[in-house]
Amino acid sequence: MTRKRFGFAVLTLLGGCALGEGTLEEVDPASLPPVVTWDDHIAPLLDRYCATCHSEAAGPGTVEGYDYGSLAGSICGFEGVEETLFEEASMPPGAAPRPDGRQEALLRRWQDQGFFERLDAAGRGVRPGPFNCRQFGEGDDD
Amino acid sequence: MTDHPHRGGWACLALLLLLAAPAQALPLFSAREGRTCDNCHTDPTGWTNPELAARKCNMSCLNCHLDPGGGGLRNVSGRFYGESTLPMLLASHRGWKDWGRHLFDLPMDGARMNRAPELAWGTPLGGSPTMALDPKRYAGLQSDPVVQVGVDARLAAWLTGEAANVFPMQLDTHLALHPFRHLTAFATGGVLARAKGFQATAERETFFAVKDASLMLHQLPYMSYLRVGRFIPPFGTRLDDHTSFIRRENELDGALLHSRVVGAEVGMAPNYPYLHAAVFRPNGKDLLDAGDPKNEEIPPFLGVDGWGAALSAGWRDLGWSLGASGMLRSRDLKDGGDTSTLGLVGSYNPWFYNDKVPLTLMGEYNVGYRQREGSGAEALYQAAYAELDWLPVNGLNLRLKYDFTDPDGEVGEDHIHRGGTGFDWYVVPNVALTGQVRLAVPAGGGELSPDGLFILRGWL
Repeated sequence: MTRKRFGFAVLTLLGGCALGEGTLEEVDPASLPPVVTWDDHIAPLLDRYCATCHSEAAGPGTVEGYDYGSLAGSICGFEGVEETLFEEASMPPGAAPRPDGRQEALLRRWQDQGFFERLDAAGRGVRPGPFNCRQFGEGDDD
Repeated sequence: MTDHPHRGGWACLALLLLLAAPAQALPLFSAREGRTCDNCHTDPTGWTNPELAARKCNMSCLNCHLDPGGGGLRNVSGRFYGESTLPMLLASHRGWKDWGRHLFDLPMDGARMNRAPELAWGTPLGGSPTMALDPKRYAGLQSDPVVQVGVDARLAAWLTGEAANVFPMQLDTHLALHPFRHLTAFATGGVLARAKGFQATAERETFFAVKDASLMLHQLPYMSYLRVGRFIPPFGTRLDDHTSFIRRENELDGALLHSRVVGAEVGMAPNYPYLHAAVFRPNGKDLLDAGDPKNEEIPPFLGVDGWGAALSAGWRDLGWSLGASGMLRSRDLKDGGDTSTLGLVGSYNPWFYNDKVPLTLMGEYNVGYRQREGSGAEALYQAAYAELDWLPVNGLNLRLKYDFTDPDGEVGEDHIHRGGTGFDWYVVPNVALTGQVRLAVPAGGGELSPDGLFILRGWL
C-alpha cells in the first residue's frame, strides 16, 4: 500500500463513511464482460441469491411463483428481479447476502442484451429456444 | 434462597423476546470473561499470581478452545464454562457473581455435578505439563485428555415475509489426539449444508468435507503455541455469524471452505496482551463460477497459488479490550486477486466494574483494498460492526447489533446499513436456542424487508 493510499485509508477509518459516486459501468467498465449469458454469469448468481426460496429445489419451493433455478423461469420472472432488487431493494430480505454492484450490473446487462443463454463459437450471444411462461404463472409465450 | 432483582424488567424482556433476535456469541464470552474468574480460580481470595510466563489466565479464545483462533473443540475450561456459567437451568456450578441472577432455581442447580456426557479420555505420555489446565479446578472433567471428540449440530428456521425455510445449518464433528505432552493434532469435518433445505443438502455431490486441521505445539510458557495446518487466518473478531460483513467481506466467513488457508501460525496470550501471526497459502475467493451453476464446487484443500500473512495483536483486559489486525493476500485475479486489510477491534464490559450493569459492548472496523473482479482495478472497501448485549438473567442474552459495509469506495449507493435484535437462550447445558430479526437498509432507500433466523443448537 502506498503512503497516499494508507493516508486515505486512515482518513476513511476515522470517518467511517460510505464513499463513491456513479455506477460500476461508469467507474470501471472493464470489470464487466461485453456479453452476459445465463451459462457464464447469471445461473450461479441467481442460484446464490434467489434460488434458496425461489426454485423447485428449494425447501419452500417456487415462492410467489418465481423459479430462478431455471433459465426459462428466470426470464419469465425477471420483472421480480426488476421490482424487488433494482427498484425496491427489498430482496434478498434481511441479512441474506445481496448481490454486489458488479453482480447487479451483470443482471442489468443480461436484461438489456435480451437474455442470452450462452456464447457461440464466435463469441456471440445465443438466445434460448422457445419456452412457455404459463408454467410460471405468466400469460405470454416467448 | 436467592433473590431476583431483575424481575422488574420482565415487560421489556418479553417485548424483546417477541421481537426475537440475533444469536451466536462466542467472542462475547471472551469480553465477559473478566467477571467469571471462578470458572478457573476455585479460590479467588488469597490467590497469588505466579510469574508472567507461568500464568494461564487470559481473555482470549485459546482460554476455552483447543483452536487458538476459537471455534471447534473446547478445552476443559471451555467445557466447564458451558456447563456452569452458560445455562439457565441445571448448571453444574454458578460463579459467585451469578448467584443472585437466576430466573428460578431447580434443586439440582449448581450442585457441582457435570451432567453432559464427556467425550474425552486418557492422559498423554509424559504426563501433563505445568502449562496444562489444572484437573482439580473443573469439577472432575478431563483436563488434558489423549482423545477428545465433539459434535456441533444446528437446525435453522429462516422466516421472511414470503416464506419459511427449515434447513440443516451445521453438523460439525471434531476430533483431537494429544498423545504426548505439548503436542496435539485436531480436525473438524462437517456436512456442507445448504439453506435450500434437507433435500438440497443431501443431493450435494460432496456432502461432507474436512474444514480445519492442525498439528500444534502448545501448553508452553506465556500460553504460546505454534501450529501448522488448515485454518481461518487470525484477524478481527471471530463472530459465529457468517452474515456479518466484517467476516464475509474479508473472506473469513466460517461457514465457507474458501475461508480456510494452509500455513503456519504462532501466538501467545499471557495475561493480558495477545498476539497471533500467520503466513499462509491463500484459498480462492468464493466467486461465482461459470462451471458451477449450483455453487457447490469445493475449493482446493491446499489452497491456490500465492501467499498471505495475517497479524492480530492487542490487549484483552478484565473489563475491556483493544486490538488491531492486518492481513495481506497475493494471488491471481482469477482466484480473487490481492487484498490488504486493516482492522480495529474493541470491547467494553461495564458489568465487570458494576454488577448492576450487565451490559457488554463490542465493535470492529475494517478498511482495505482488493481487486475488482474482471478488471483487476484496486477498490477500497469498508466493513464495520457493533453490538450491545444484556444478560438480564443467567442463561438468557439479549442483543442489539449493527453491521455496515461499503463494498466499493468508488461506486455510489452500494453500501448497506443493517440492524438486528436477538436472543441467545442457553436452556440447559449443551443446548441453546437463538433467534434474530435483521433489517437491511440499502443505499438510496427502498423497501425494508426484515427476516428472522432461529437456530436450535446442541453440542458436546
